[in-house]
Amino acid sequence: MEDASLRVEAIEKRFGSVPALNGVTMDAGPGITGLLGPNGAGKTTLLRMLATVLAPDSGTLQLLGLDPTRSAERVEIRRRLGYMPQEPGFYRSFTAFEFVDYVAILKEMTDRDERHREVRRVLDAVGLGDVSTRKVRALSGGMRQRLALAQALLRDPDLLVLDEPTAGLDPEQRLRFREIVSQLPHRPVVILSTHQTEDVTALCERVVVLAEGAIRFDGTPVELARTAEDRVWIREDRDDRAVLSWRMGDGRYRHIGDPPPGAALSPATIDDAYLLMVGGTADREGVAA
Amino acid sequence: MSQAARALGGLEGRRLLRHPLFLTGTGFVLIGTAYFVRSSLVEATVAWDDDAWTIGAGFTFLGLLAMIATNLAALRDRRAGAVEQHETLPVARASRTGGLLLGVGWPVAACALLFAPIWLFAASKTELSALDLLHAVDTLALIGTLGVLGVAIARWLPNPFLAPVAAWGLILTSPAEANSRWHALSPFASAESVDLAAWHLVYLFGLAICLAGAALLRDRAPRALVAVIAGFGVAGVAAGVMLVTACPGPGRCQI
Repeated sequence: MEDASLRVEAIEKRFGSVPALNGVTMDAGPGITGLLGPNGAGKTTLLRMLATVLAPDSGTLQLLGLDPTRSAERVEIRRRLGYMPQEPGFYRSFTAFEFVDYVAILKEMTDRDERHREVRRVLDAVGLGDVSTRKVRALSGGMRQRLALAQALLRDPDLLVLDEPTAGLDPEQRLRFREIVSQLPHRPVVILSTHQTEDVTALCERVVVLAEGAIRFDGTPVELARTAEDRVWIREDRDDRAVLSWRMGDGRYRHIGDPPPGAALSPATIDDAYLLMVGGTADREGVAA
Repeated sequence: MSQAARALGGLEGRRLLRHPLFLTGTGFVLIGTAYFVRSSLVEATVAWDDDAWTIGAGFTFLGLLAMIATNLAALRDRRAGAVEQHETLPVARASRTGGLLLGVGWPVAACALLFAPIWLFAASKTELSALDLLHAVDTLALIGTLGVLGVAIARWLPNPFLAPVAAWGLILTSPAEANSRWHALSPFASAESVDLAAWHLVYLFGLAICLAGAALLRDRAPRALVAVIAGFGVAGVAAGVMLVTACPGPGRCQI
């Protein structure tokens, strides 16, 4: 029986003298696992390893029960992998159909009729069926993101690695993306790297928080939110004791940290927990409030 | 060659035929042909050697532009920033290169189709010899060789400005008259006897196969494939030696 899981054990990776991953250990099975972390946390490095384009300096990696360091097994993983990089490269002079068709050939779909059926299927799935004859250069940013997702969905991959797929999408497009990913037919292993905690709440059965190359949390989104329980309070003015605080729309201040006695506690969200967890390492521009 | 390479060959070939540079080259051929047709209608007699040089020049420009087009196609991954993305796919880079090399066959076939009516028209106006036919095939082989050269340059020197520089270099290093036996090795050299023209044709095939091998070698292609290519390459080298030895005897080879 095929192993539909991935296992990462004590992975380390350095780029020159800069450590990117420090002994990361995690596993994931079928379903959507969210990977949260600030910029520079090592998310993309980890995803590039899961996408078989980067080897760890030490540690072991098993993808779908196979060892990516062995050439034959790496090819087999790639047959069952869908990868959407953070900054997908597009052939701008191709039409949407031609681009996905090209990738389909690189996914070993050599039967023309079968391949074209599959290309139309994935383009329809991401809502690009009507613009399939339009040149990539004429597509909007959101459409290009969906095109990148379409190529990753070719051949119903068992392992789907998505690196910040909702970056730059407007709210409607993000909802559409969630709909597509949540309706994947055969429950592949999906690793979804994101800055958007809302996506994690909406989609993921499990969330892993990565900061400074190490795993800070591994559990369900509810468990993540629970780590900030009793550590969120609201006041009329700013409280300097808070780790982080911000002025809300109603003029009051939301604080996270160790609350003072008698503070009016507020239910914690996944955002609060995430901000507490990554603390000063977070590049707050990347964190959805 | 893998099935994926063949599928890619079809896709790349069709794209090359639609490439603006290839279409521009086709325009040069049509202009050269129009000039020949005009000459044949105005003058009482026409000679292929004397009057059809404009067609040859058109095909030569087409070949040089096809070289730049194949070079750009081979650099597409890099220009789009999609190299790593495609590394995650099961089809190896060598197959992608193989697809590009097979794709070169499409412009060559298109040029053969373009050439056929020109040849038939010329045959109706003047007597054509076996040497003329060899020169025509040599021109088609030149287009294929230049196309393959474009891919090889992209694989070894991945910079989109180098193919145009190489095209200019080929033009500038091809003197108007053959004053050195080494000039017989120019892809543009034209032998003035059937035997030497045939050797030049073999030489061009060998050169194309050597260049294809060089491109595939960069991508760590299977050794067996590289060995076969090397075998054909040896034939090309032998033909080259033959040419260098025999040219430029009096009036035997021209550029």
